[in-house]
Amino acid sequence: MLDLEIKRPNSLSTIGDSPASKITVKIKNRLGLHGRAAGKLVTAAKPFRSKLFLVRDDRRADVRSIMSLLTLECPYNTEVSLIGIGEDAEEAITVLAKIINDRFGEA
Amino acid sequence: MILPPPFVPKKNVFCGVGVGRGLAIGPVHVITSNSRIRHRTYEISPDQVKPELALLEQAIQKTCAKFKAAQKALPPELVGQEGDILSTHLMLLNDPHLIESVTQKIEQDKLNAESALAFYFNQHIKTISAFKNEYLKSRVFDVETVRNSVIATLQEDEHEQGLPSFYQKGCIVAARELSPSEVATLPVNLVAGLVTERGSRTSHSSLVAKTIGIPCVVGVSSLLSRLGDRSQLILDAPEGHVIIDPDHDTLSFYQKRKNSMESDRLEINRSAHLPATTLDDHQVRIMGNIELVEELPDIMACGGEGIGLFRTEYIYTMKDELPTENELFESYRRVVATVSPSPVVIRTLDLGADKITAIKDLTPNNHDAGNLNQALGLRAIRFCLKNQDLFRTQLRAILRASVFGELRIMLPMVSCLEEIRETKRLIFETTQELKKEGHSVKEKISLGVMIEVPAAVIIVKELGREADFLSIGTNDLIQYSLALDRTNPEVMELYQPHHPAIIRMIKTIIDAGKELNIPVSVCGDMAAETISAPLLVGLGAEILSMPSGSIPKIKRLLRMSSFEDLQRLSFEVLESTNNEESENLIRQLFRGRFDELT
Repeated sequence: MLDLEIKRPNSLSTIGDSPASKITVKIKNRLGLHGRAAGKLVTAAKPFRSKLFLVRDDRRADVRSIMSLLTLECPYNTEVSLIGIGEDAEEAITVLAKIINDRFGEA
Repeated sequence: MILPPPFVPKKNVFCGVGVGRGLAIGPVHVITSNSRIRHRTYEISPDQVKPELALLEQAIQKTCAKFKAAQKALPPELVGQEGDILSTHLMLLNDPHLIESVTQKIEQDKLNAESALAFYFNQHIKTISAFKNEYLKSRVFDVETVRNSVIATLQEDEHEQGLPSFYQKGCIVAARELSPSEVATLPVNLVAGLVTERGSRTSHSSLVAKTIGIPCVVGVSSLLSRLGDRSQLILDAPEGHVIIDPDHDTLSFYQKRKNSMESDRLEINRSAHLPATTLDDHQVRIMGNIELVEELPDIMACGGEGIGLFRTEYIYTMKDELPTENELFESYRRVVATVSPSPVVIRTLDLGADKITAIKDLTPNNHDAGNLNQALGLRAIRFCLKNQDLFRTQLRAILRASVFGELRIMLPMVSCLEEIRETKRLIFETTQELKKEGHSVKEKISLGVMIEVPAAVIIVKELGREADFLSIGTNDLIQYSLALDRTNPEVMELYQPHHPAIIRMIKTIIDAGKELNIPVSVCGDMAAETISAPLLVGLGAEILSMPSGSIPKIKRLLRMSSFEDLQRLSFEVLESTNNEESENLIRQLFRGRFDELT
């Protein structure tokens, strides 16, 4: 398993031999990261091959697992980081960050 | 086959909304949020690991299939939108971590699949239950639902192998509310019926309940507090009744009724697609009543020959805004195109301002929304003609949909000629408008008038000359003619469809139609009742329109009748002096021939 040094995330450029990317965003929809919102991230992650994580404080969730996203507890205004590791990591987390910034299409 | 007497149990009867068909009789099984489902934990031997994993895989796949089937029962535009919790539940079920973690538990701890699954879900349920954010915490419900659904499916399979299960075979599940996912995964080999305190005919769980093939009654308020652990229940889905701890007579009545319904249903449904042609070759057209596009497949499957009443109120009551022309057009178009080449009769808005969510608080006519009787107030065609912007929007949508099939327009609650003339003028104007804007509108669209007000019966010939067809709304006609409020229990027993006044009025309407050479249909409850439909045909009604559930049996009843007999019956009934005498005459004709005169 990989061990992310998320305390110094800005220095993140590679992990092992794989390129890594990171974007920090805020959950801006009123209801927070609930089932349908998390589902949108899971669906969006599908076409990518990179490992993708959503990190909150010192805990991280696998973006491909809705259960791990839902057990992270990310209400309105939570700051989270998207971290991708792999060839298409940067593209993937850009897509994911956009979904979060668009408030999952909600209020 | 013996005709059961009309039987109304007096005690312990509670009313709700019936969903689906049939009767269920059995012990109650109450489900509360803590008692939802119990799992069994036991260790397995190493050589049982493989079959246990296969069982797990199978249960997950089967639950997925049930969720997907349930999703199909919901309005298609809902999928992916707010309220579509089934998509979230499917995703939780297909979570890659689920299969990985549960498999590991089975392999390493040698636990049965059921308890390994429960362990996985309970772990996460515990985490979510400790959340500080109230909303996210409340969504622990989703995880619980999925857990319960998979475990229920596992137990359903295991029951087939003779293992004991959470549900006693033949039980009736009672709950405050079940989510669509839980309804979809009720083990129907064990559970005979479902009754809930919450829910309405169109709530998502109800739409799903219709598809799982067991009788359900929803919206029975304060049901659970009346139930004991060992209560016996009778569910009567067609009537929407729940009877708690029936006495001996009630029980034996329903037992008989259930048996005859079951044997009849097989035969009746097999022949649903056949036309309703009497023994002496008189043909009656049997059409369906719908409120939602989603009800169409049922009407088709039950042998409905078009839609005789498409109610258009639902969308106005559901949202805080008035529906747009395009929204209305889209729903009308779908119905008309799906049913084409058979006809669809669209009834224009049959509501007053008090029922329209978007305007109920701001309308200047709101002063009669208080204690005054809404049935006598500004509603239906009266309301539409006073709110012409709203009416024009609906008419434009209807007219635009006209080119997609055989569409007809029907006006509710007409009481004077001017209402038809004014509507015709509006139809003419909006047609010109639409054409100018480049829309196509069918040249000749039939316009019908509902006869449901006593005054309209008296001037029916004058009204009929302005119309292309007449349709009898029996429910309102009875209410207005007998001067009784259908919602007032004190006068319920006076609601008599076979009162001589009603029968004679129906006769007057049908005769007027014959004289003017325009068709007359009946679209109220009477058309759907086995006791009334043959009489209506005998009186000369050419079209009966009813909910899907009644179509097969009414068709069958008419197929085994002779028109000559029905005509003779109608003459006798026209001479009767009260409701009971009329009903006895009808029952006599069918005695020993049609068991299900229920």
